[in-house]
Amino acid sequence: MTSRLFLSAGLLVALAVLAAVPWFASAYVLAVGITILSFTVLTTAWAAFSGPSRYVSLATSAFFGVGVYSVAVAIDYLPLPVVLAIAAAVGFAIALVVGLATLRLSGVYFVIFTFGLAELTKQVMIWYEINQNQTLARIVFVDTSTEQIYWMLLALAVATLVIAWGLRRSRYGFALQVIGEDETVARHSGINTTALKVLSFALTAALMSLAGAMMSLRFTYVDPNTAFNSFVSFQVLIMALLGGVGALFGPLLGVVPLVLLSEYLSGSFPYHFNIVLGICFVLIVFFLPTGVAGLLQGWAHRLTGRAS
Amino acid sequence: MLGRICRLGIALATALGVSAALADEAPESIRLGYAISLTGPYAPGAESTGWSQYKLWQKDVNDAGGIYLKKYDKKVPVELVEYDDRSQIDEMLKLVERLIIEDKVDFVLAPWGSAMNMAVAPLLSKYKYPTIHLTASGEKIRGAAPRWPYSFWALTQPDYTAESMAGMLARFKEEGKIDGRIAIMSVADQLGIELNSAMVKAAEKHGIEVVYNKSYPLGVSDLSTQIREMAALEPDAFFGFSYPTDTFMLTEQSIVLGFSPKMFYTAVGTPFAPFKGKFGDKVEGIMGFGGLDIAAPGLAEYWQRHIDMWDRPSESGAVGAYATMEILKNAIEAVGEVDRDKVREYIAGNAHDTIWGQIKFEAQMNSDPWTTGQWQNGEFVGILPADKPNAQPVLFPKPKF
Amino acid sequence: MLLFEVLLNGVVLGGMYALLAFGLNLQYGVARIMNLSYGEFLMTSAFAAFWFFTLYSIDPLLSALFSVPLSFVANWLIYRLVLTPLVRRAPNRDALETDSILVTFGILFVIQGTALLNWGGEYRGYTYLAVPVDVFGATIAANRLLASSVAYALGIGAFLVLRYTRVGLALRALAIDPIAAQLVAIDVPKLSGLAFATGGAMIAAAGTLISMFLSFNPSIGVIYTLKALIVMILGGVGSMLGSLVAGLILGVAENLGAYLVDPGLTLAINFAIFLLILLLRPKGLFARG
Repeated sequence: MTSRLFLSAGLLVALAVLAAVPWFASAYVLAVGITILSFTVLTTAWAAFSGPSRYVSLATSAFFGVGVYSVAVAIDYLPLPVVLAIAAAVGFAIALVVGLATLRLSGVYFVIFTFGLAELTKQVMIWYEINQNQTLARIVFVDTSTEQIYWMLLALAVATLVIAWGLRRSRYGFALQVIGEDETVARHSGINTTALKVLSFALTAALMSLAGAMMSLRFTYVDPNTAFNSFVSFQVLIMALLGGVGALFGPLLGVVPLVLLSEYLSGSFPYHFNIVLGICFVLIVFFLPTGVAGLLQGWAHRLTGRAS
Repeated sequence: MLGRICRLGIALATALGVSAALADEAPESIRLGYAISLTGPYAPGAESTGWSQYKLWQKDVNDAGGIYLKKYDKKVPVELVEYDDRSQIDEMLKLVERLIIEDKVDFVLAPWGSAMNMAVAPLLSKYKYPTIHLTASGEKIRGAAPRWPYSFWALTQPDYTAESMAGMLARFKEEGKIDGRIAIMSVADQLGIELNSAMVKAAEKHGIEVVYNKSYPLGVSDLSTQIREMAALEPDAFFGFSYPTDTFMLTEQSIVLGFSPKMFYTAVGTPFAPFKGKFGDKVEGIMGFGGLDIAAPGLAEYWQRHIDMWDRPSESGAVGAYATMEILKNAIEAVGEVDRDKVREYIAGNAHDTIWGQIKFEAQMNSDPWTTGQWQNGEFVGILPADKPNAQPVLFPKPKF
Repeated sequence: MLLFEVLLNGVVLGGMYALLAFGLNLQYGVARIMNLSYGEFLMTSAFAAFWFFTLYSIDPLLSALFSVPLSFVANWLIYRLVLTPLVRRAPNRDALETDSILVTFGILFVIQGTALLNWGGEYRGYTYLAVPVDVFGATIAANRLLASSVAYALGIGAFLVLRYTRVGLALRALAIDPIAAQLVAIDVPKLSGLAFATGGAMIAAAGTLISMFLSFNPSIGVIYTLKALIVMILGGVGSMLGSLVAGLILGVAENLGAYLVDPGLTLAINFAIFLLILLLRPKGLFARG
């Protein structure tokens, strides 16, 4: 009981500290913080669905891009909160369609299908922009300050973690896990697998779109290649696997080290970044088989004397 | 006697006081920082038109002792601080803030590519860091530049480029050398699209007929069908608004399929040494994006120094990048100290002599940039605008492939 | 006439697409490793061909005698030293997939980073066999024709080997069920290593051939890995014939779409077809059931 209390208090303190960052840290630290928060949202949302259900999605960049474009298109005409709502709604809607379309797919076929879908979205967007507007890029003029973007992302990250936590503890989360273990059994146990898969996929997609929308405020220059960058999908996957998909804070534990490691490496070894990062990956796989989360859980168990 | 000692004492004290004031120590170095794409899809461009020029310039400056700051009557060496943005805009923005806030560099050098440069301009103006952007070409820049007062844009923009080329076509048509029918293909990316629509507008204005106009996605593997279609229409000129991979592919497939119109233009990548390396003497007469003054003072020496340092020849875009560094150096020397506001004013208000010719900024835009070059006798030379110093006459018609 | 040439170009392009996927079929279909560093071996052998040709004036195709065995050995070593421990400790197939994705991602970075460091980031290309060949009235570049012919030969050859030889039988058994395969005295680790290494050799061959007519730089590996993945999935994992047919469909669709509709939509059409076929046949064209 008291450990629960300590944990909640600790979380609140951490939150307060994070919220205060813009006041005592430099603009550079803030920028790093923004990157971390944005990836936390993406990775946690991704893991909330793909973790239990074992449906590995590479469509992250599609939803992120949708969010970016919602802002680029609508920000000149509508107030920011409305635009954000639109971004989430569009992301949700597209994910619904995607989810319904991919019902029969599983395993690596689902993975590559989602990748193909993200690329298709990008190509269609490119073609549309060129033919309708004779231009590919948009310049977005907004005067949201970096601090405001940071706070928005912080709020979104907290919301995402809360939603992910709620999903895990609810019976829907449990049902998703059953789907992940054996979908046939899930269906036969009376779980409406279709509705559950599609709705939870769409929910996480909406969160990803919101992240994209908020990040877009930093960009000024927006085009389909930068907004729908498939590398983001891979980065999210890698971070989630690194941190450990099983735990709630797993994604966060993948995001933070990777972002910080990248910052450190690009400063100290700008030319050797790739090689050093690659070696780090190989080492991590060999020595951290359950991801960072697994490592920490192991420590926690040893500290509290509980059997792992 | 006492009076004299007193007067001496006062003089000494004054002298000491004055020299104490003058003993603002000269900085140990002038620090220039940049976040550029060392890895990722932008790496090729960033290397040839970005950091290779920054480093060559640094070597040249430091070999001569450094930049002369007349405030301290001293030459101060240049130090570079570099980061890899991995071809991601967000990374670049973050790293530029790191350069300004943590590393406290004196000036920031431009990243590579239109997207990157347009994304970073507002940030640099916010922190009042004057920067000359070379590798950026886009319709919106001209209109947006006043919002970013510390930005300067040195490359030819799509409208200016198209107007320049359409004007040339009109002249040739008038002289009866061509019928005035052109075919266009463009890569479905920002520069390709903008050059395309600018060209269409300029062609219409000058009475040139566009008989074929198609765009293709980045990463396409085969354009032979399109080339066949164009060949069947027998246009006078072909304009490929392309990036290096498609520049190479369009040229190769045109050679194979025997598509050899009187004028042949491929955009980015045409001036590169590997282009000549791949196609040998078949590059003769091919036109490309950008140009240079082949007899600009200092160019020949620069060319050799480039080969000495990087083991490969330079190209017109890189010359432009080096020129932006020359402008920065001249501005700092003219101002006499590291004062970003004064440097900004100097860049804006003066004509600068560089290895790219004389450059002047009007409303922060290069008032008279090179638009087009052409391979002539194994050398890529500037041909348009035709009234620029040492612009070579257009080699017409292009020899059959 | 032009339509015929469009179709022929499509067939030629399709062969190239298929060529990309063969090796991955072996590495993922048989050895069960999702190898993200697959395309890096295409890149390195493309560079090898480039250096052989431009520095030593050696016929780039001969560079395959160097690149292909080298890639075979390198992939064999990767399998034995890096992947086998992961295979042994993986409790289930999912865990192995996760681990192999992460590890091969790391290897990708190491290879790409080393190439960037040594060769620089710029685009390279050379001209070889860039001469027109008349095929029933249509004009095709000789280098593309060569690459495509090798692809079809390789695909049919691999299919025949898998179907009619003992090794082929063992490989197919391995692809279907490694545990059962072990029960019939198939040396699973050795055969998986062999399959993985052969996959690496095949993509190296693809790299040599493609370098004749496409330009390249150290960063292109990932692009080709993804193309190979799409073709493999479309054709059905583990099926050489499937990859051949999938490549053919994509190549023809791309060219036909560019000709009939709009070249700007070529990639969109490709992805749309890919998605459509997967929706109708969720395990690829030649699904193994």
